[in-house]
Order: sequence, then structure tokens, then C-alpha cells
Amino acid sequence: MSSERALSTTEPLLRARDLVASRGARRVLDGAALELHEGERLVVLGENGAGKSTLLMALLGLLPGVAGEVEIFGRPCRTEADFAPNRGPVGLLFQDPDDQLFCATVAEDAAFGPLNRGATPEAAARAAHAALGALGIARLADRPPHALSGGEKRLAALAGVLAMRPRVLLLDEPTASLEAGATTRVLEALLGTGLPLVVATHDPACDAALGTRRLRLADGRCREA
Amino acid sequence: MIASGRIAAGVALHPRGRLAAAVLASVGIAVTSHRLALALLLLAALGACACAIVQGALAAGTALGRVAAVNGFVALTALTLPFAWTAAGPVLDPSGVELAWLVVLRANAVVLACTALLAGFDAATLARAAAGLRAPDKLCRLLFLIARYLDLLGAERARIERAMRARGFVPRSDRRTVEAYGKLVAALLAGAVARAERVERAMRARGFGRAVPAAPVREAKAREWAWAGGTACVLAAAWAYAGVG
Repeated sequence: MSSERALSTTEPLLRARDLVASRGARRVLDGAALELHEGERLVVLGENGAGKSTLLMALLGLLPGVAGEVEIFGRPCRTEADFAPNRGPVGLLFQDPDDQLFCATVAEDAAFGPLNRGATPEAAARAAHAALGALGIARLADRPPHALSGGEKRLAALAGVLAMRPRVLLLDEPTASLEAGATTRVLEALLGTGLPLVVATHDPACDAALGTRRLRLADGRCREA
Repeated sequence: MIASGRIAAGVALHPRGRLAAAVLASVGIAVTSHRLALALLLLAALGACACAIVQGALAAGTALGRVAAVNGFVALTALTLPFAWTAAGPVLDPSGVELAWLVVLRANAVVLACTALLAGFDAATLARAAAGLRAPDKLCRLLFLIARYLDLLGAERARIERAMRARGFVPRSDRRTVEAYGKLVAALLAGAVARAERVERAMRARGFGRAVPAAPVREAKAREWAWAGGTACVLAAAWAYAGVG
């Protein structure tokens, strides 16, 4: 599988070039480019509406009509068939957990990804509970997602991503609209994964805690910040 | 007449007149049970649709799509209604055949008439038109909010589905896909209830009362009534021709 391919030490995990995407008449991405290497936690800064979410979704081929080059684990991805096997090895945490949590219980939702990757129901349940345990929210397993607090929802959504054992995480405003305590818990959980990250945020606390390198997305392009 | 080539002009009419004509046509067609009269009404409605398409007020694809959707259901009725089930198996029953004809003609005539008369309507226009005809307030509110909610629900469904794909979901013709979509619909419904409450509060916070905002008043009232009257004339002519009251 493409995601299992061994990489040379210099080859980036993710590489995007010349990304162009429009929302209505406006060009949200206009030649955006980025690279993520092993051990990096790349923070993408930008105003509201700068195109950060669009950029993350474009990296996983989730938006129609995006032009440009994307390479994941050294393999060019152009078609849905190229991107599909990378959804899991590259985990995406959505900005609004309500977009992601759609099952009847938290545990069921966390098992959704592993089942999509062909796991047996038992193995998926094990992966789900392991992810919930790792984030310290095993007690939420049988709760319905809509009854959770904002911070709990964010962690439950993250568990759904981690249950797929990703090698890279893409995080869309992981601390947006969380109070200080919940922000700390989410940031600790993300650091605790030890995974390379691309984090889109405009939260200084998130940037300071996670970033090893920074890009600023403005006018559809990424510049070193 | 509804087929008098005034559909494009009708776009400029107060929506109230067009809605009145559509309601009148639908009720008129529904109470007509003479096959020839129905066939004439169907032809008139077809003519109205053709006029609307020719004048650019209606997309041919939209009209065809609606007719196809309705006829999916109608076909089921038309194929089963003519048969009486006896001990010896299904037997063709003349009264069943007659009924099936009526269903086919009525359904298509109503769909075509409404498609032509309400060409270009969105939910908000429909709500304003209904308010203009003094329809019950609750119905108008419902229609008015549909415009907002359809959009919101559509966007929410797209976001959830994208998040599902981000976790490797690929729709297949299997039980798991059906289950996943079942949960998606349940999540949409649960979310919609909570959202409805939030939206209602937010709308009230901006001064939304119980009533649907009224449509701007127009001066060409006579033309509206002429239009609705034209529909009534077509109905009356069809009935008279067929000798049915």
C-alpha cells in the first residue's frame, strides 16, 4: 500500500504545490504550497476565511475542483483512488466536531474509521476503546456525542481519528471555542501522540504549544512566518 | 388561459396570483373524473410548460425531472390498479383500468400545471405568496423556514459526508453503507431539531415575530386576477366540452 511505503529521510511526508481552489468567485488558494517532514509540527496561521480549512481538505482530496499537485508519503495523488487509501494514515480533525461525530455513541463513532479500513467489528471496537483510553475519555464511550461538552466532543472526534492509527495528523482549529482547561487537555493529547502535524489555527496558545515551524496563509499562498 | 404564452410575463406578476392559479388548477383537476376533460387539461398544462420553457422561465430538465419523479410512483399504481386479485390469480378489471387512467392523467396534469404556474418559485417566494393569499400563519412560517433549512441541512449533510470520507468511508451496496447512511440521517435529524431551536432564538433576537415578512405590494392587481381567471376559464372549458359539471 502506498501509505506503507518506506520513505527516505529527506522525502517529505506530505508535499503540496500550486494548489488552486475557489469558493464562489473568490480564489481561496492561489498557488499554495507546503511540505511536512518527519518530526515536524507545522502551524498554518491565517485570518478567518484565509483558506486554512480548504488547504487541509485539499491535502486529502476531499474538495472537488481543486487544482495542483499533492504527494502523500512520496506518492502523487490525483484521483479519488489515489487519495482514498491515505484517508486514515493521514488523519484529519475537522474544525466542528459535530461534522465528524454522527453515530449513536462515542465508541461507535470511534470505531467507524477502523471499520472503513476493513477491521472486524471486534478489532474496530478494540481500536476505538484504545484511542478513547489514550485520550483519557474511556468513560465517555457509551455517551451520545450530542450530550458531550465542547472539549469532550473535540477529544471524541480526535479519538475517531487516532483509532485509525494515523502517521500524520491534519488539525483544523483544534482549540477553537474551547475554554482554557479544555484547550490544555486537547493540546496535551495532541503532543502526547508524538505524530507529525499540520495545524491550522489562529489561537496563539495552540501555535506556541505545538509549532516547530510556521507558515502564514494569505492571499491564497503560504509564506514562512 | 394558462397556455396563453404569458408565463414569462407571469414571472413579473405577484406570486400570489400564480399560486392562486396553481391551487385552482390542482383542485379543478383533482375533482374532474371525466377522461376526455382530463386529457384536455393535461394538454393545456403541457402547453403551459412548453410556453414557459420556450420563454426561458423554466428549465426543460427541471420539468422533465419532476414529471419523471411523479411518474415513478404513478407507474406503480398504474401497473397494479387494473388487476383484481381472485382465487384464480390476477384478473384484468375494467373499472380498475378506468381508475388507473384517471390516476395517470390527473397526476401528470397537476404536476405539469404546477410546474408551469410556479416556474422559478423558491420556498421563500412560495411562503410570501401563501401569506398573500391569507393561508394559515403556521403553514407560511413552515414554508418560509424551509428555504433556510434546506440549505443548512444540505450543507451539513455535505460536511458530515466529507468527514466520513476523511475516515476512509466509501459507499458500497452493502449493509454497512445502509447503516452508515441511516446514522447520517439520524444525526441530521437530531442536529436539525437542536439547530431549529438555536435558529429560532437567533431570529427572535433580531425581531422575527410570528408572521412571515409580507411581500411588497404591487399595483398590477388586475393582471393577477386575469391570470387566475384564465386558469379557471381553461378548467371550465374542459368541463363544458366533456359535459361534466
